Amino acid sequence: MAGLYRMERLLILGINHTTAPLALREALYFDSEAMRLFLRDAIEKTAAEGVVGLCTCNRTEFYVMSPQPQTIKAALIDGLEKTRRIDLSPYRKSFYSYSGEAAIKHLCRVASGVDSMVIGEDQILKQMRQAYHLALHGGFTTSYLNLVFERAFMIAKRARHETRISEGNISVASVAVSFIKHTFADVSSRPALLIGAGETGELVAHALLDAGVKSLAIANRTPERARELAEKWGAATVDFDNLEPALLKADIVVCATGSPTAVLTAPMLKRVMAQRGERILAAIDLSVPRNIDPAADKIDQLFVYDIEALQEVCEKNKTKRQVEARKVEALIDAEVRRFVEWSASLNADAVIRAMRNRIETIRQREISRYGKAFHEHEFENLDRFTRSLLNKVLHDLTANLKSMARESDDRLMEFDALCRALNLKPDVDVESDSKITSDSDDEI
Amino acid sequence: MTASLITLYAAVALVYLVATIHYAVEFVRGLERIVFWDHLERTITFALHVAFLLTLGRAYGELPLVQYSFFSFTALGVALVHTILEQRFQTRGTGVFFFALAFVLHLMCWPGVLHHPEPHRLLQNPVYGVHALAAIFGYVGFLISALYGLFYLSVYRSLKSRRIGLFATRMPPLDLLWKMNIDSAIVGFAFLTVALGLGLALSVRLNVAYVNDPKVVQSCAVWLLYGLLILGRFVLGWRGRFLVGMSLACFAVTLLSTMLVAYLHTFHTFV
Repeated sequence: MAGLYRMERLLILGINHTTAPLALREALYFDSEAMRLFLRDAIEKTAAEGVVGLCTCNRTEFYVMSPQPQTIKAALIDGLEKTRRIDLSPYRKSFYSYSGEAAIKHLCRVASGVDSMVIGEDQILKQMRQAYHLALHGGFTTSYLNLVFERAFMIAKRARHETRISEGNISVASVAVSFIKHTFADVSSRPALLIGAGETGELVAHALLDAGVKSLAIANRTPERARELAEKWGAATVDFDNLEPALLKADIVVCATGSPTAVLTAPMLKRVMAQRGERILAAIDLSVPRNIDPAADKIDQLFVYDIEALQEVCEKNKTKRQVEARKVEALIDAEVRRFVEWSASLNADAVIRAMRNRIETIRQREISRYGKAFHEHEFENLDRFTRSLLNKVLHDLTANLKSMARESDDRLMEFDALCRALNLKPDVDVESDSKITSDSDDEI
Repeated sequence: MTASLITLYAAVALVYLVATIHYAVEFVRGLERIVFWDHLERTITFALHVAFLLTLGRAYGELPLVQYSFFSFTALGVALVHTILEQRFQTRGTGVFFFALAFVLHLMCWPGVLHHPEPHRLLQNPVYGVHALAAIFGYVGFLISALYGLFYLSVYRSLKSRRIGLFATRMPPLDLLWKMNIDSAIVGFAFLTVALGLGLALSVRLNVAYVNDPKVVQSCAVWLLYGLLILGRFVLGWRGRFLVGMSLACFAVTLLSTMLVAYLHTFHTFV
């Protein structure tokens, strides 16, 4: 039994990259098993009717349905302190909370990637689905939470489909890979050379491996570090002081050393390119100062992308995504409003249904009580008469309840009063719930 | 006949327009995957176009390869060669340009729909028809090759200057563009080979002095030029910008010589 949908019972409590330091985010990180246990405890030991927990590297959030949303906040924070063995009192200000319509909007913003550190990123939607399904399969959700999450996923899907919020790479590594993809159709068949085994080079090399590069060679001034990375990735190592043979073989070069002077000089690259014939060499220079001589830019078939060029694209794409984010916000506002109105209409329908059922039960009871006094054909007339009478009495009431729900989504007090007066037990689940659950299974 | 011809003409124009808009939307949105509907759209386009050309041929009483009707054949050639390359390389980034070109070329054949020319003896010969058709498709192959060459140079410039706009973003990667450039030249070369072979057989049968005919000489020279280009690719390993440069040079020669010969004679001198 779900009763009526009560939006004001929805509460979101969480921390994210804008409110909490990394140390706190790390302390409140849950893997899926730890999260499952925490959710179970929340249901068993607090006033939560349903709860979903989302945990990513940038946020930990709980979406709770509770008849006492304000007291549940303190209970959840206590639970976090006990489970994670951390004193959260210095971090109280890092927690934010939303309830009712604001909570639904926040959920949609998170799912659409508008609230992410990297605006428009796709990963968050996947993580949210996983979080939701963890709670769903654990039996920790309520029908209203199901409804809200399904709607948030639908809005997030629309946001990515109807706007360009996810378009354009905004990390240096992914922009570097996209530059290379403009040059080579099949990156996986191109041998790559990483010069400098530092953190930055490692990031781009990682992006290249993710893009499918199969042959990677690593050159580093300290050969031990090169060997270490080569072992990790199944790559080869090459001599840092004799790069020309490796440059002849490679089609992609990533340069990221701390060298104060150019590692790949223009004369060296000229020699290499002359020997390569018309084979293109795509070079990514992530170093400051530049490791690839700027004069090499003029050499035919050599495409050098330095950190400035990569960052320029990142910034451009970020600006584009920010513009798109405004469109997504407008979409969320409109969709959340529609959703709130729709769920209010479901409440009205549930009250109407309960009222009609109740009155029909009374009618049936009274008919069977007095029906014996009537002949068969009179009994049919009596049945028709009572049915018609009640329909006429209920007609205006039904119409008024529906228009009340349309006028305002905040009619729960009136509905509750009516339910108490008529001793009704309305249930919104009857029509909507089975459909929502089956939809959600399709999405997995 | 005229009513059905006009209807088919309009239907073909419409499907080319729809295909162009479809490609344009995909170009702007960056969609690359070829799906079932794309195949269906292409099949309908080609079926309607062939039906139109057959109806036009019936109306003319000969292969509709003269005056304005020639443009519709060229449109079909452009769409066909592009579709072959699209299937081979599984990329749709350039479709908007070729289908827009095909659409315009087809529109240009409108006067040929209204005014039918006097039947020409040579065009009533089916072997000559296939010969002329193969020649048109051959030159279309070279035209498409040249356009891919220009796309290559444009993307090359964008990448070199690190200013990658929408055009360069949506174009196939550089190493695919030069392959598309040479492959369309190969398609053109294959069609021209068929055209020359049939032309030779026909001239022997008709017992005409084809050697002195400027059109034959020009076609043979073009065939030889593109033959050398293909040899350069597969024997000498030409690739990338050099290969594209050579193919553009071949096309420039082809274009100039074709214009010169067309200025001198519409048909072969021996006709």
